[in-house]
Amino acid sequence: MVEARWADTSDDFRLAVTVSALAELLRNSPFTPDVSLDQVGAERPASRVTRARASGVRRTGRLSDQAQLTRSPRGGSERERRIENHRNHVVERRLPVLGAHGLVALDLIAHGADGGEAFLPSSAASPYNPAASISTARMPYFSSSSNLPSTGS
Amino acid sequence: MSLSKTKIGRRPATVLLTFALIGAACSANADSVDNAESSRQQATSDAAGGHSQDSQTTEVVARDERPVGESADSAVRADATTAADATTAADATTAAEPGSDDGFFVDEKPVELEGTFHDYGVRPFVLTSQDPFSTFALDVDTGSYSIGRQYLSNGQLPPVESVRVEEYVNAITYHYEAPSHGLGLEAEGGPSPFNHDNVVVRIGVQAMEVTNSERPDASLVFVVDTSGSMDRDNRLGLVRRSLDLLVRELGPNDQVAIVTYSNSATVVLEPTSIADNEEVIRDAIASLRPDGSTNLEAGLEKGYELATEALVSEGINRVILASDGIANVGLTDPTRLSTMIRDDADQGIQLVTVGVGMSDYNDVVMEQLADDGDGFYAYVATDDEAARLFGDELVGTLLTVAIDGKIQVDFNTERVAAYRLIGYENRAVLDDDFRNDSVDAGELGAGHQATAIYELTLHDGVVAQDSLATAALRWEDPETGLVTEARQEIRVSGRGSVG
Repeated sequence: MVEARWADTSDDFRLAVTVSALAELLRNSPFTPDVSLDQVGAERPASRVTRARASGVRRTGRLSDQAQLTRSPRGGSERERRIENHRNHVVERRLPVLGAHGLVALDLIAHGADGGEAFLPSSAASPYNPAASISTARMPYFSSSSNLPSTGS
Repeated sequence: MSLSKTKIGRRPATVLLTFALIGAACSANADSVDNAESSRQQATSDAAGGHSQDSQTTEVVARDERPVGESADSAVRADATTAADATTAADATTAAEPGSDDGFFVDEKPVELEGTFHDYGVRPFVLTSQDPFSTFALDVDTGSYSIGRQYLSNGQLPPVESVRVEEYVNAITYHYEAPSHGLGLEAEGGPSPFNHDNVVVRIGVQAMEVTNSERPDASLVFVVDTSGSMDRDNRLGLVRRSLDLLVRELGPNDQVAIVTYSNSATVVLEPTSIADNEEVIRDAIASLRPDGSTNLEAGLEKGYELATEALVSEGINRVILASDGIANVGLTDPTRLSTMIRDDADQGIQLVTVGVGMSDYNDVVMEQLADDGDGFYAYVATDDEAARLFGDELVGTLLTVAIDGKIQVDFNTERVAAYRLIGYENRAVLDDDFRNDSVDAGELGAGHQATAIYELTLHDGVVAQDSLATAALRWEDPETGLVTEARQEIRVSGRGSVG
């Protein structure tokens, strides 16, 4: 069945769609300028949001750490600095549109097997673009360890 | 989920036009998009017959059955770049535009994580009035996801061309219902995160589960790249540990052979039964040392030669290639290498490619070889990932339960205005070839899953219970040769209006 609201879809559906949106962004798909994952979480039942809060602080920290890794200037030659600048440029252009949900999905993918539910506090600044603040964000899709990414299938 | 037998409707021919939503962002990918799409011959909808099925039906059919009177008009498609919305696309391309003077772009790729990838483009929206059928081969590869994860773990974005969306989606495990035999098919839809006016539909395929004790005996040939480029712990070291783990999981009636290749190929271990020889096999694995250049052709040739000699009738016969994908001696072109192994695949010897390492890693070779070798491609960066591939999911890694699996979605032109398949760019199958069982498609191992996501633009006036499309899944049982087709109708829920 095709549902009108995210709340009526399954966890698996939301997870698959979120990951596909993230991958579309990572490959610069032309269909992503207006991508928004905020409603995915906003329509979720409160109980799941509550459970999601538990791992929120840890994940927020990870995102920040990852952003620092990505954005921190490196020493070395002019060529290496130019490469680093290019990376930062790409990050700034490609990731702000993800919104908080996408960023947490990015974190999930980057850290893979940790999985679990995630929550970002409201009004946090995007680690990838300080000018783009993140609204209340919940990431309730990863409700069990059985969704952990698999290597071979 | 109801199951019943039914006859499959006819699919007359039509033409394809691309939808004008694809932006100038695709201009850089135009050739690749052409590759993915130009091979698609299209069939017109026999709408009356195409949407009157039960919610799911399954049918076993004879090989090579094709709809009577099916023919293919010349495929006509609008050039993606000329149909572009330049405004929409501009943002997406600027960052990756060679030669731009914005002060950011550099010609050189990042030094440490450089690899060889191929950009297959992005599928455009397709008008159902021009082509109501979407056909593609199933894919259970996950290499692209693992590579992306490796980049992100290093605090960097993966190269755009390394991202194959379907492999990211398929890297996640979903809760699909496992069928008792063959493949199961299900579908679900909801709002689109890409455009609030659209909907997305997810099509899920689940292969039957088989336990390790239930699987047939296996004859495995490890073809291990021991060239100089493998001289790192996260390459040959990881391969040694992975194969050691695999051997521990095998049963006494399984057998293993080992071929290494650098300047040339060497048989390190002749086909050897696990029974009473496990230590011998593990010692052989531990003895692998890097040296010299990379003659992948010689390694594959010798590996398949051994696999043919050690062929287990009605058993599992696999060549497992572990490499960083670099080939610099002998045949190096992936297409020619693939041609070399195609005949062996037809004899039932399937290829699993396991990629390791990142600097100079060749994703193209590893993926293409697995496709043409009727196997699948995984990338392993850590011992945990190896444990998953050769431990938790060993049976799926070894045992194929469906071959030449493909999907064809028949969209209701009265309800769906346009659609786009997200990903699967290098998995296109001609619409007319959906029931041509000689066409190579996708293989699924026991317990494997494949997921496809479509974004749909609906016509106005779609109401509850309207049928939007019918998905058909077709595959061959590798044991019996029987071809089965299952169908799943995709309807609008009664809980509210969509689109």
